[in-house]
Amino acid sequence: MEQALTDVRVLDLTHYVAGPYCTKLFSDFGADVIKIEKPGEGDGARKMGPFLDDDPHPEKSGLFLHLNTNKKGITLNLKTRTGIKIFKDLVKEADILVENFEPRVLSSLGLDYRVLEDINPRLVKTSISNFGQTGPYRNYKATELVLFAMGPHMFSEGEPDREPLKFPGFKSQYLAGTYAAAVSMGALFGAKASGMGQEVDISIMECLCAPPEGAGRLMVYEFSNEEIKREGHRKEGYYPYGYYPCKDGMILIYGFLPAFWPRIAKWMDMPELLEDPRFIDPVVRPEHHGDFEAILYEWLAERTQQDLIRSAQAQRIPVSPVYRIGEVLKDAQFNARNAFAEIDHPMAGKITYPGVPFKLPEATSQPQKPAPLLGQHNHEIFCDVMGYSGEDLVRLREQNII
Amino acid sequence: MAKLPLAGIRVIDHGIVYTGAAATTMLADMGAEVIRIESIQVLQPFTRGFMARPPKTEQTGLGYPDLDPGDRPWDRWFQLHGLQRNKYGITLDLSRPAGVEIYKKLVSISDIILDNFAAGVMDRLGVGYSAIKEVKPDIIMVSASGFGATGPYKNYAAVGTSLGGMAGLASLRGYPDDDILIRTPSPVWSDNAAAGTAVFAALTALHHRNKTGKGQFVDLAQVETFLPHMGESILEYTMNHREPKPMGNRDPSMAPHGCYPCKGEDNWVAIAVASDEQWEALCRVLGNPEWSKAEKFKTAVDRWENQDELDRHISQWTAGLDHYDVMHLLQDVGVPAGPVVRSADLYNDPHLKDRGFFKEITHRATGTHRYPGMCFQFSKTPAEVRMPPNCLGEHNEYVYGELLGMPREEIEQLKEEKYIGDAFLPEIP
Repeated sequence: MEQALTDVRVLDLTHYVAGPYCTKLFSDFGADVIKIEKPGEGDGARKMGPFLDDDPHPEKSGLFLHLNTNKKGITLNLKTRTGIKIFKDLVKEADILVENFEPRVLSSLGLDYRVLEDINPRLVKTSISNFGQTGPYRNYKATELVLFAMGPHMFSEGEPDREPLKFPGFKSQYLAGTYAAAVSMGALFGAKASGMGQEVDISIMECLCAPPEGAGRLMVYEFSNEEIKREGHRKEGYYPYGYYPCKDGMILIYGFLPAFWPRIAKWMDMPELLEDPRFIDPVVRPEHHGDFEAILYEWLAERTQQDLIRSAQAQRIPVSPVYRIGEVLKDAQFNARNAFAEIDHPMAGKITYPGVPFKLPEATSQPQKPAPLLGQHNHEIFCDVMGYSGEDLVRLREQNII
Repeated sequence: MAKLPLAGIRVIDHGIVYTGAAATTMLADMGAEVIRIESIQVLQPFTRGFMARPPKTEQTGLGYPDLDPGDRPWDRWFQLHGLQRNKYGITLDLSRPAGVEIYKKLVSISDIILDNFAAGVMDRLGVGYSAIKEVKPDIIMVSASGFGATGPYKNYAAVGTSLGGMAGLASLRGYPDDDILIRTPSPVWSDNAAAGTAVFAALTALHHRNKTGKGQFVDLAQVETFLPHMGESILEYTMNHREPKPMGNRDPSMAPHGCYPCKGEDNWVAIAVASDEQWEALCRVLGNPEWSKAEKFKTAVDRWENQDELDRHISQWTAGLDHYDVMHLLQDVGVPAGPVVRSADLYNDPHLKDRGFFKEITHRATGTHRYPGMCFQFSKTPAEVRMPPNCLGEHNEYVYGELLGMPREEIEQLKEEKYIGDAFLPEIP
């Protein structure tokens, strides 16, 4: 059985997070992804932590290793004429080009879509950028913090009396990478059907504002003029709802809808809750949030996470674990479904990674290959695929082209 | 004008709440013919409102235009409007065998079925993969349940907020100086990851079908689509056996890197300084004040170590300024900065306006409003809003009549027997 995308070739001019995650989705499902890095330096993510044993070595960045599995890596200096010529030769055979430079970069290299289209009319060119290829902010700089601030979520994250909070990690950029992969796949169908590729412009800011969640928030405002506020510790009056400590960890309880109250009483084996006027009268109920939580906290403190989840789910109350990262890795559900993969890398060794985000039963995932070393596949791509000789490779290296 | 890329692909959409509904919308935006199946016997909460006919109070009105549920609340709910353009909408009662038979006819002319029910729901309705592939052997079915269709949690109920907790997002969300977690669950962020990944899964499977002739069942666990988005935190643990901690707005290496108060009520600006050049540019905008020349802010390492004090200085500067003005001042010299926006800011944002992100749509149940648009722009086949969000059962005539070729009398009989309709049954609360 062959992987699903083995006949798709992706030229990968991406770096950091959003672009590499997009092309990782392709490479994890078998596409031939050729990642092009700057000679000597490579993807900026190679300089970002976490590093294995805190050794800031370009082949030991956990971020880079994670985002570039199953890709082939070559180096190419696009600021040289020869580099551009080789790149254009690669474009001839590519289905999709993904890049996430600042919008002006490819034009400045003479690689506008018009030029690429002449070389390969079927080419889908996906550009991911902070704010998109057009518009007044197109050249504005951003980091994850700035991107998240300019989407519809950050204003309502955190405590009401403190500053709004960013999400941990690079969530906006991962999201844009995910959407970019989905949309590039769509555009590829169009290119195959019509013989005509096109440009796909992905703005991370717009990914945050699009369906589902961002658009839902914006629509509430459009309809009701309601801004979602920071609620921090608890959404006053809605209970039980949120993260709660138990004997050996934390759980999420999603039980604030009125229909859940009889189930909560049954779960806690406290039938008296069903008669307590503080909790059953919908008008005064919100005022007794603290009273109920005092009872709940005490009850939870004596019970274990897994017991609580099982007994709540038996009553159809959505209760689920809230894990620290170490606990995520031990979870029975994830492990039963092989959600993690161990990958052996020539310099970083065997490490457990998040696995593929879904599995295709008719097109199995091959054993996963590690992220490429800088220029690891130069010989394979330049010599075996493109027909340069070993001597040519030396010349290209000496002239700082690869 | 060339056709949209997915023209000619037909999708049956059982999407509810966020994940499924948004995944099929992305397919529809790219040109697929998406047929959304609902039933007048079952109200899907979050998708068409919490109640079929809510009483008119201020609280129950939230989520409807002008806080008014109107005569057909299910056609006015914000989640329908925010998410559900470009689709055909039909109703069909799948709880009766005759409904399932009609459904199978639709399956026989479709390419993809996408649902995000709990695992097993489609099977119980008699329209699980094993039943469906008898009708259409090369069908692609993407079932996007919370935890997946196998494993010890396969029958567990999940909501979007469950998944962030299970994937470790919740434990990293908070202020660095506060050991208590932010207890209000995060927005259903993992739904975003799941929706985009489900589209990628459906199209990858379709690509495989086009090559091999084989369809397949994709058991997609929403929570697993989110794990890779936590990648570097997971590797921090697996490489170094170290439990990552909440960092708030701080960065492992950049400083200043934070959210600073601005003029006005609850206004903030995010500023991130990634290099010495950017630090010098920031100082120039501030007028090179005396404090900025101190030894303790000289190098990137110094600034990171003394960032509490650095943040106080920067807050003093931003406090007198408008948050959008700070963005422009700093971006003009190449320093990453942006306001923490409210929804109102986004609707008025000149950049989003210039790019035409919001689309004005006139809908028969709600009038004219500004709708959030697509997360992508195509250069040659622009994606537009071709159809407003579908009213309940709006396209019954098209689908049953034109697509399935049922005679008028038969459609009328389905209406009479309540297999189809355009309003929830009166007994639905």
